[in-house]
Amino acid sequence: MAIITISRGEMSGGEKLASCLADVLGYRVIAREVLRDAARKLGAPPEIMTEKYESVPGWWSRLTNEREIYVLAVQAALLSYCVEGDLIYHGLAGRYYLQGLPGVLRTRLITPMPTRVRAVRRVHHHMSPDAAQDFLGQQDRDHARWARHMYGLEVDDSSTYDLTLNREVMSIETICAIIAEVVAEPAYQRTPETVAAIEAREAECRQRLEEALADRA
Amino acid sequence: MAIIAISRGTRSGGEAMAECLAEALGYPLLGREVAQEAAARVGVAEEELIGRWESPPRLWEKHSAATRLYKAAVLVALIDQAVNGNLVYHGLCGQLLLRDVPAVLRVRLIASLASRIAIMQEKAGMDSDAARQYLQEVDESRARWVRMMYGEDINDPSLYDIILNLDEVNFTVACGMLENTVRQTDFTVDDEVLAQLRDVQVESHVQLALAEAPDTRALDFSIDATAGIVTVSGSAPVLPSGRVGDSILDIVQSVPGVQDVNFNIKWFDPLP
Repeated sequence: MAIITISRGEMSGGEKLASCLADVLGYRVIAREVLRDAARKLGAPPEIMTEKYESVPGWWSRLTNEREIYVLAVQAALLSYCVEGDLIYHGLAGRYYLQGLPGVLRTRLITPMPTRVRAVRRVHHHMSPDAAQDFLGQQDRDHARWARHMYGLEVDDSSTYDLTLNREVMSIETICAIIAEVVAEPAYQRTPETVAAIEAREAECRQRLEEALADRA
Repeated sequence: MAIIAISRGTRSGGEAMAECLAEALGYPLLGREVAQEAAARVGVAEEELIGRWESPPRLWEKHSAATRLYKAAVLVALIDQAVNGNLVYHGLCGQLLLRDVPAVLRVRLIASLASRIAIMQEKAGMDSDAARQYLQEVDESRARWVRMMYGEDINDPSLYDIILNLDEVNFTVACGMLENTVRQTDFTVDDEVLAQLRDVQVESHVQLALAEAPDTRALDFSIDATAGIVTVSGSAPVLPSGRVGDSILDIVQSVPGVQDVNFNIKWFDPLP
């Protein structure tokens, strides 16, 4: 029993991996629900969360605490799901939001570009392979810039993950089996102590959010 | 069955992991000595290669020949051991040497500098500052070697199938997980894979023979072998004697396992 975060690029098979793990482990899968819940807390439309949360901050927003508010709201929403039970999170910044917490396995899924291009073209039939590759390359650059600006994290820094898995040779099923084997170990078992640590982190996060909201007001 | 290539920083647990896997799977175990012995056999000193790569550009061509010879010799030594599909290798650059080889699990083990310093203090009796400096110098040296020899970034995660952070994942758990991974179908060594391994073996021996021979050591070829049919691709000079083509053919045909040779060579005038 554990909390598993999956970091991955666009169209990398992260959802498929999360689904496989859910089947094997019986865990809940969470991704954009945290953005929806954070938006509800702030009284903002969900699309605002996507804009504020996923785009690189402009110079004006860096002068305000707006982004801090949105980030804290998302973190609090994610932590509340973690308090409820074991889960697989394949949304953004999982390894940042849950860093230092016990019972968390931070994974990264790497998928070769040709595989991702095929995945894009299955959805967007009109896209040429070159256009699909350009699109994914831009997504990767935007994501890397966002992670660097928001959290000081480098996407390719393997030390910020516990386990990095590459689909070049291994199937999703093999990768799923690897992760399932690791989280079966005692270090990832849900105990009263691990739950208490997650609850304490959630409480701290909510307090900081309330303070930030008060400052804004 | 599979070939496991373990890449790691100094004191990151790589040797211990290799030993754990070799024992669990019953595989032969090879380390850095493979490269050192192979280099000695062909008369190339590893220490010299780095120094030569940092020399002025006019000497690069000669250094390229020495680099090709070194890489070919090391690959032959590895592939001759791996051709049956069972091996654990924890020497340098296994993930790059074996990049085009089937049924290879490329593993990288990482650990924080802090934990590696602690190991150096315990095992080597170094103080913290000396351990830090030593580890950083070794890390930089290895990164430079990979960059110069293969043009790759040792920290590029796409070079590996699995990267394990041993600060977070228990060593015994990691060993068991890797053992189970190579038993998955992605790494099955069936007759088709064995045939591919034999093809790689022929390619590597042809590459070595061309890199050693005086008439061809300055030339850069890529070699493809399929069931004994060898295709030599690259560029070669047209000499009045016509000797180069004959030399290439003789050298390639002398390698065991070669049944036929095709040329995909661009011929150029060395004195335009």
